[in-house]
Amino acid sequence: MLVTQQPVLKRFWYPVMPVDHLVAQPQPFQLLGQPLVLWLDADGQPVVVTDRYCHRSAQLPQAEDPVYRWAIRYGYVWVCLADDPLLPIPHIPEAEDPQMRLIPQFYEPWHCSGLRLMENSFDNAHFSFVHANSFGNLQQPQPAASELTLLEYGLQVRSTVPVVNPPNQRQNLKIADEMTLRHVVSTWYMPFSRTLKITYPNGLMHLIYTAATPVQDDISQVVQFCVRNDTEADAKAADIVAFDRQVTEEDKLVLETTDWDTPLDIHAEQHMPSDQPGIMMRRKLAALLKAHGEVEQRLP
Amino acid sequence: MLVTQQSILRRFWYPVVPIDQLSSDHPYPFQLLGQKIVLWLDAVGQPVALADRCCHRSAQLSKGSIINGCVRCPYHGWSYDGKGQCVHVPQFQPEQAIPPSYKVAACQCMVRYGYAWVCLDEPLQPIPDIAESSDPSFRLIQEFYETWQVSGLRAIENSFDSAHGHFVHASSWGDQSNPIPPPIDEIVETESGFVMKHWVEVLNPDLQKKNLGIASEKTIRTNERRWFMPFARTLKIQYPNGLNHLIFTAYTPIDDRSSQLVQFCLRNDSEAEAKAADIIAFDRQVTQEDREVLETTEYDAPLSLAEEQHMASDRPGIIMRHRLAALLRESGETEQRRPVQPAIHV
Repeated sequence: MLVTQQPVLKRFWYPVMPVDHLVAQPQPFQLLGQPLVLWLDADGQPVVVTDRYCHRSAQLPQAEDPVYRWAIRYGYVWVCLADDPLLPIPHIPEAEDPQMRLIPQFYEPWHCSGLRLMENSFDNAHFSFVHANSFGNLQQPQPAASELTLLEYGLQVRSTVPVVNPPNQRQNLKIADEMTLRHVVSTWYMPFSRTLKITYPNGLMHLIYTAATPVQDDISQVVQFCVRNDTEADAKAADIVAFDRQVTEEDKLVLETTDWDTPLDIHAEQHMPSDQPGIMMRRKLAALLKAHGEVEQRLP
Repeated sequence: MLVTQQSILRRFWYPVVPIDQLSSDHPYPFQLLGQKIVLWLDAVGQPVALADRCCHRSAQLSKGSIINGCVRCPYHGWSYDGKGQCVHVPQFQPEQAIPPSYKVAACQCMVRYGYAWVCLDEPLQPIPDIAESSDPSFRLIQEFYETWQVSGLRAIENSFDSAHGHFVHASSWGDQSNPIPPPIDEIVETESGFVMKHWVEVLNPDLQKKNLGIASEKTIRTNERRWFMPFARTLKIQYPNGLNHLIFTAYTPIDDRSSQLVQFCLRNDSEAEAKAADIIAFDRQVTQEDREVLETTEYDAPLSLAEEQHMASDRPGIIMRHRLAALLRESGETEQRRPVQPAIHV
């Protein structure tokens, strides 16, 4: 699927930039191939318009330039390129709970499609190999069972996953064991974001929000923050980010080698039982295109 | 001609990697005619080559590892044998059968002259046969394996061009005071290309005096040059003292604008007469001189004669264009070119 050629994808909200990136100066961003420029106006409110510099006109924004819908949520500016979004911005109650802390983690472009990144987030079978140096167990490659529920515009998976608890993670979790259990609730928000809510046996919650905001057909902007019910005194934010950095880099190394023109057609690739979430994502996206009169666009 | 868009070129053998750079521990990635492939040594030490793309989620197999003679995908650990069949899915129960559709495309692969050669489709021609390589009076010296930013046709026609040496190789053997190339004695077309015979008088610099065992300031090279379609050649140089220096060169097409230079030589002398390191040093200088010019040329070299100007000594390159154009025609292809560039008015 070539995301820039599927107009219905314009009808979703995407986090495009941390608000604090706009404090000093306007910033460019490309969303679904559309060049944008963002800045904060005199009242500190974001303004999002088409970036005319990309059309070589080298002019300041004009009154007739399209102005896009924006919102601020979880510390990010969100943009929708259409006037009639199909869905609200994902609601993450934990991120707004004053008892919890929100830690911004990653904001960077990946050379990979959003669908690859999303299905990877729901794939219990890749840990043993991709994450063999962090929390995966190469000796136990059988994926943990999971329970999948379809949502109107997404899906949810519940699973209990035994994981390796490496030394650099023990302090973060306040768990001394070499192995531990993750109780996981993963939610996919169409088209390209998810929450991964991990609860450890000691009650610690580590919730990760990840968006693969579509920049171009072959580039996604990874936007990730986490929410925890512990304090800086319990675990340093820098250490928490460092562990998730390692895990994320492991994913990136593999995902950036995959085809970014990721097929929705189930027959174009081979599957195994643990691929069920990714298969459902393909079906939901194919149904979305169909419902809006679009056909999947592919490379020639 | 854009080589990645001419599928008939997939039906030739290309040397892709020295066999001693392959192992049974680590996969080796290569790009041939724009297609990513992965190579390694299988359980019996034979080189094998597959499309470098897992059939499950398209991850690059060459980022994985070699386990028991099979390549293991870095993503989910699916393992493939040298024929491309998936033989292990770690997520399956031991008794669970692996669907036959779990497979990736395999390429033909064999060893010759110290290199793993690959053909992406059914070969039209065998791997070039070099009689001297099985002659015990000859020694094989590996010379170069490196990536050049040049298309195969530009590089291979240069190898048959007797007019450039006086300029490009003025610092090694070219005699700039005598730039008129002697006439080509004969060119005989063969099924796999052609054989060209000619001679040329060259300067004999100090390093070469030692390498050739010839003390004079100039010497005569009697050359027999064979073109092996599309982008390989042998150049057999005979010196007046009976020394033979045969060079094999292939410009293995990586993509439309780059080629992997593969070169080795065969000599009927011994290490005591000329050190391999000195022989390589001289050929290194000559090859570097070619590279500097060739990398400035337009990579989309046209097969049509009308687009460029020619002179008599360009005949080998012109025959190459005719033969490649005929090859495309016979296989129902038309020459693929870059989109037209805006004209520069002069």
